[in-house]
Amino acid sequence: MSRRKRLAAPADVNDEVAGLIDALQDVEQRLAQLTSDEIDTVTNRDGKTFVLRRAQEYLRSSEAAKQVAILNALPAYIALLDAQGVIISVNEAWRQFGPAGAIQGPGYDVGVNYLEACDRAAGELFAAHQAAAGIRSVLAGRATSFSIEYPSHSAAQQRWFLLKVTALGNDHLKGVIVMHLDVTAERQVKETLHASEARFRQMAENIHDVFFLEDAVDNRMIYVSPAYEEIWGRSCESLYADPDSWRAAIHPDDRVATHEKYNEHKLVGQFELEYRIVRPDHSIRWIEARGFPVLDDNGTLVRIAGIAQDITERKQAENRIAYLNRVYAMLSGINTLIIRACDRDELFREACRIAVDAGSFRVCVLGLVDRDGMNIVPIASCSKDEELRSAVEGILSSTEDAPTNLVTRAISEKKTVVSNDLQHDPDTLFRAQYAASGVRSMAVLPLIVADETVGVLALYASEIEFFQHEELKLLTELAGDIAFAMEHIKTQERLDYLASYDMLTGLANRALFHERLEQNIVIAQEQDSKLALVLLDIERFKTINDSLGRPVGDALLKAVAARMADIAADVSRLGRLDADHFAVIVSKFQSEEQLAHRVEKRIAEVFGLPFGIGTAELRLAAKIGIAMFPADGANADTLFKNAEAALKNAKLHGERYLFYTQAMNARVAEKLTLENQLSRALDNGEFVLHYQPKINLVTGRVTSAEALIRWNDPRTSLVAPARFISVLEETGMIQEVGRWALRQTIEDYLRWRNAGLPAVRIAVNVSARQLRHRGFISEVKHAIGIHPDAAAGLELEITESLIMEDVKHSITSLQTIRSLGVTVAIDDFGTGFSSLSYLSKLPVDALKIERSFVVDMTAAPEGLALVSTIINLAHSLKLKVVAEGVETEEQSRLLRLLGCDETQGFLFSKPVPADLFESKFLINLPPGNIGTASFSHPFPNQTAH
Amino acid sequence: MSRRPQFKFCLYLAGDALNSAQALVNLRALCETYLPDRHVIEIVDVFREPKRALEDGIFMTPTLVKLAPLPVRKIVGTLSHTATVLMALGLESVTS
Repeated sequence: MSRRKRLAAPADVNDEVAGLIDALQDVEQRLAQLTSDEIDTVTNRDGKTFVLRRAQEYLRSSEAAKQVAILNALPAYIALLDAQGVIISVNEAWRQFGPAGAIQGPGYDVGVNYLEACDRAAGELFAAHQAAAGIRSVLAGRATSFSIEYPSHSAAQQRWFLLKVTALGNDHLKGVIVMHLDVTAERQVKETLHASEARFRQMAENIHDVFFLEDAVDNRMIYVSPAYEEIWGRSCESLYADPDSWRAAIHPDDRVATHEKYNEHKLVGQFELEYRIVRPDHSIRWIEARGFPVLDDNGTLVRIAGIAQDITERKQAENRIAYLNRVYAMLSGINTLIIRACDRDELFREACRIAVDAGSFRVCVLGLVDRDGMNIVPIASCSKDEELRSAVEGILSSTEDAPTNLVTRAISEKKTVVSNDLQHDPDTLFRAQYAASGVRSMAVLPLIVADETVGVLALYASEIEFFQHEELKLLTELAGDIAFAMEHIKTQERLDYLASYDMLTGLANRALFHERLEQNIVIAQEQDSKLALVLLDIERFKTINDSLGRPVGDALLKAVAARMADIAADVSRLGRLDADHFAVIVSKFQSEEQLAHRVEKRIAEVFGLPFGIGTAELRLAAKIGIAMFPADGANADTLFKNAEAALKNAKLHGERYLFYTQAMNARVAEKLTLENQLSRALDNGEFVLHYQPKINLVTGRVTSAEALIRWNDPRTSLVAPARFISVLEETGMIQEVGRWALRQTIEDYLRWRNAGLPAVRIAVNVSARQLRHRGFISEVKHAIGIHPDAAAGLELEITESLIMEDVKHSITSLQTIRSLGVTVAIDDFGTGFSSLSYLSKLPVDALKIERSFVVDMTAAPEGLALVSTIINLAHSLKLKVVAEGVETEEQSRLLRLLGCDETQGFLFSKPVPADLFESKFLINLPPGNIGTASFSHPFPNQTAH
Repeated sequence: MSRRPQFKFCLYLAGDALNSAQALVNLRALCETYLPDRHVIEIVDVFREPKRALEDGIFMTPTLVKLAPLPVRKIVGTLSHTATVLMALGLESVTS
């Protein structure tokens, strides 16, 4: 519209327009004046914007201004030199802040020839020389740019600059830009980094384990420490070139399993592998490799960091121990056999079986040397693999043996011959057969009687390098024993048997039994263990013999002996001394009470059922006398004498069995009575729970309680736990009583809670047997399962020594218990020799200081220091601390000073019955806050371990 | 501990024009110095929101409006003279 108007406009209109434009300019100028040029825009009342001229001008010049501004804003010192090296322009930083000593700054102003200035500065600054040379080379077109780093140290600080010279434009003759950049900080970072990297390398390269860092994205090896070369026998370069080449070295037997496991775990970057590698020199090393994931901020696996250890020595040591144990087990089995075996065939057969069962050998063959010469006639052999067994027997008896054959050599050289790597032993025939059946090493031991090789013991193991010095020493000894037994059996077979055994029952006779008792005493002495000699007389036997006749009597004795032998763990510990007089050696028992239990059980097993004589049945009974080693005698003779005395006493007093020591009898009797009473107490509900409050030392309020078992014996009165808990433990009744206590505690807790009382968490003690019992956790689950709030009312107290018995198992159990919402406290802390490292890992909530520490606290400064240390330790592990057995104000005051959280003890209250606990401690509590205080964890930050 | 008032500003700018840019820089510096943690700045670019400026009765940029605490005050310009600005905003007491 305005355009059309203008086209049609006459000359005077043009004048008017010119006038208006002038006016507008005036207005703009005036506006600018009024606003001191500080305005960018002005709008009219319709919102249309006038852009002031000054702003437009600014926009036009802003490009150049921006460049200047950028140069000025840069932290670098920048100067522009012309082709002659004269400074034609500098930036703000150069002009104002050039640091002293550096080759820029106020001293080098516009108009100065920079090259000459640098030349003059030569004396003090070597860098100035270099700078001048560099600038000249760029100016001359010999280089497009030049840079050096140079120091400019003052007394106050060390600084570093980077000088950069860049040609101006494409034509070098135009000039150069000289820029000095302060790189002190970068340089320091670089130096620190360099130092730490050097430290890391130094560490990585001096440790015998292999460190490696792998890029999980492109499967690239970023770093591997030089130990790789030593362990793998391959160069680090080869691994960089092919990051999977370490896998090529894995022993063929381990390859598949290792690959599978690695591929499976590689995706998450976390793995633990154990495998063998074969080095280029064919030697084998055991490797344990662990990988750890390195994640980026998004949780994506970017790297795998790992460590691979050569565990060959450890592995070998483990194997050695395992191998030796096998050989020991076999040795002791066969030696027992040698005492017992009656004929050669049994000896051979059983020895082979023991070698396979106890010694875990693949095959064992015992053979005799053919009289004609060098051939073996296998007499007995054993293997779990029947095919292998007959193959080996075939090989051994084969006549196509070369003279170098292992067996031939063992016979002729009368020496043990070993091949510890059958597959690679050139002396071994049948390598392929052995390899196919997984037999890796073998030993042939000559059996030498009267300086003549009469037979061989051949053992085949599936492990390579099985037969080492110590194994062979034991096996040679064994071969000697077997040879001795063979000779013994051959010459004396029957005679010896007659001399040592009772013809009627087959049990050891008095002489042999006496000898064996002596042997057992020696063993017990060495092992520092107890032993019992049990003598047994059949009641009324003389009468039976007289009235029913000798044959019936003999049949009865045989039947008794057979029953005894049936239930005996070891027949060699039984003996028939004379007539109806039997003897047993008993070992491996914990206490006299346990022994008494066992004796009673055996009596019931042997004499519980009647004996059949023809068509008649006869009930027999026995009297027993027991003498203990070492208490009742240090040798076989004394033990016999005293056991006889005890037996006589039992007959005299009509007791079924008696110990030689009277006190022992009394103790056993008392204990057994107590056991019976406790068993009834459980049935009759005579156990009750008493509650002892725990007090917060700061608020003085009851925060929780410990449930303690009491026995309300109707015959006497309340029985203290010290008198019966150990019996419950020994007999296993503790399990049931413990279950009851758990249930009762929860019941009481829920009752108080439902009654609106500020119910507090109650701790229940857990005994060793309970914790070890497989079903314990499900018992706890079951007990708290009755109500959703039950878990919040329960704490389990477990003694430190019990936890430490099997730490790994304890940690798992405790974790599960805590995951149920039940808290855990370590009881009797300070008595269990916890290692700190374990303590920090234990998933527990509280720690209870054992009372003796509390008592000692006031006795000596050391005692006080000890308690203080325990409290600080617990607090640093974020555990609550409860002091037990607090009886005096002094103790309470000290504990409060030391920052102990809670106390428990007679000072505040002894354990009281449930109703008293309720009326005294729960009803009087202000409701609400105390309840929450006791339920909330004292250390909310603590998470499950 | 008496609660000190929260300052609320609205700054009307003309894109990244020089005076506007300076006004913004100056305002920020001033707030950081004298009103740390107790100021809110709203920026209105009149090129982007011409109607908003019109509705708010803003005819020149840069213009700073102090909305809170009351009374509302308007200042036009680059805000380079700190003392003047503080006085105009009723903030003299803050400096002393």
